[in-house]
Formats: sequence, C-alpha cells, structure tokens
Amino acid sequence: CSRLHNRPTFSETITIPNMYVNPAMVPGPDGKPLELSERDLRHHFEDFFEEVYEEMEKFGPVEELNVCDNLSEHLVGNVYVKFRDEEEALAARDNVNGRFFAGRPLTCEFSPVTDFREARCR
Amino acid sequence: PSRSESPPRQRKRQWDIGPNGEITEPLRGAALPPPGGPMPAAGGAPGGVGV
Repeated sequence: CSRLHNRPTFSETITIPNMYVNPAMVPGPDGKPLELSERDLRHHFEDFFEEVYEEMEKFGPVEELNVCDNLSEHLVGNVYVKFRDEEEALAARDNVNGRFFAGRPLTCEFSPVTDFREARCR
Repeated sequence: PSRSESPPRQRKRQWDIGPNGEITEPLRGAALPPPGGPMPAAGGAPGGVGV
C-alpha cells in the first residue's frame, strides 16, 4: 500500500481513523498485553459497536458500519460508516470531527469506499 | 431446563469523554454563536461577479 489514499470531496461513507482500540493490544502495567477472555473482548467490541451505531444513526440510516481489525498502523481500528446519501455523511463528518471518544480526539473524513466487498488497500 | 438470563451489561458512555475522563464539549460548536444570540456583523461588501 502506498498509503496515498484517495480522499474524495464528497462520499456517502465516512472514515474515523484509529477509533477502535482493541484491549488485547493495550499493554498492561508490566508492559505485557492484558489477558482478557474471549467473552470480555467480544463484549468490549459489542459495546463499542453499539455506541458508535447509535450515535451515527442520529445523522441518517446507517447502511454499513465496519471496524477494521487490520494490524497495519494506518488501518487499525478504522471505523467506516456508510450512509444512504452524501448529505447524511457530511453531517456526520462535521459532527464527529474534533470530538473525543474514550479519551482520544477523533478526526473524520470522507472515504472513497462504497462497496466493502471490493475494498482493498493497495 | 431453562437458562437464567444474565442481567444487561452496564455500558459506560465513551463519546465526549476527554483524556482525563472529563466530559468534553464537542469542539465543532465552539465557533458557533449561542442559540438566540445576535447575528454576527456582516463582513465587507460583496465582490463582483466572477467571469
């Protein structure tokens, strides 16, 4: 991947980069990753997913919500939200930009991805 | 036999939680005038029609 991703001026899909932090990747006080059960990890992700979904729904029906689990630094934890149209995506992007989530500042931009089955980071 | 339902998990809200656990105001509203406040003064004279 060249990391020179296309950033469209408008899109029905927004990206919130590095939003999801997998707790299994967070080092504990001893520097080693925390040991969490599969159930805890699933609950953590489900809570995250629901909270993002509920917030995004305020801007319009969410057609797709994807969270990237790719280990590549520029993709890990990226959240992609596809709305019905560009106006809803624009409202969501403007709302999310500059907000905090779980202690971390968020940025948000449009994504060129419209069909996640075809999405590739080349 | 019927399984007992586990109580619903308490989800802690994470939106608008700042680095120190404080509730933050979305920054996007910082530059906007308060609701019902006076309209900002107009800027300079409108420019001409571009060609």
